[in-house]
Amino acid sequence: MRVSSFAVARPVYYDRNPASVQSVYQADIAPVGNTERFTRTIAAGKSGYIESLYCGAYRSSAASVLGTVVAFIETVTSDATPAYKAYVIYQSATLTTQTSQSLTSVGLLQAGDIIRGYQFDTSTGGTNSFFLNCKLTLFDK
Amino acid sequence: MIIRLQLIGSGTNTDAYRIDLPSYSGVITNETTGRAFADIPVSDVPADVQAFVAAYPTFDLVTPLPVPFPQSLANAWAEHLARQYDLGTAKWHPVVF
Repeated sequence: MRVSSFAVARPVYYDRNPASVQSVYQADIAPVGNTERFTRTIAAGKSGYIESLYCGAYRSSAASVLGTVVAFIETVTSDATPAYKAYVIYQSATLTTQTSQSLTSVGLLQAGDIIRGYQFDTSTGGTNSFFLNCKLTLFDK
Repeated sequence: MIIRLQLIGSGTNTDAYRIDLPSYSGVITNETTGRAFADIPVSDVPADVQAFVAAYPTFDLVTPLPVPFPQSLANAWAEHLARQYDLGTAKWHPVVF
């Protein structure tokens, strides 16, 4: 009887019961305080690889009192320390002013770690479009 | 699945408007009424909470629910999340609102 070797490497992460998940926020909205538009906490027994993320904003109608427009995506690790992964900001009265960041292969999240996206606008009146997207591959530890 | 939930926080840098859940996306908020629609992974929502949401559909961020979200379901949801994420029952207490 042939006996297989026990010295077989573990499958790569994307072959360990993988699941692709996307967190998305896209909207054209009036000014609002700092708001969490998506969050993803890695479940027990899982890890998550951040395949890509996109963070952007553009002014779609004029503000009556100009303020600061911000969108960002951050991760929070088990030591409760948040760190920006993407951050866009502008203060402009010009319609279609826009800024964005797109990143790939951002890194690994362990069980209990969090990735989340925020936006805010301190203007009065007017609107901005916001885009916060994140694609993760979740897999068994 | 999309559920209307209680919005918490004050919109500041240290206390953002948010929903008391570990995973959600596509949040639409009404800061005045304290309500928000969010897309939540089905695996994070126990069957009895799904049944409550189906029994009392919501179409806007203003109209109150005809009945308050039962405390027994709130407790069951917190315990479900604690098992799912292994971070204890103190962490999340979502409320259908």
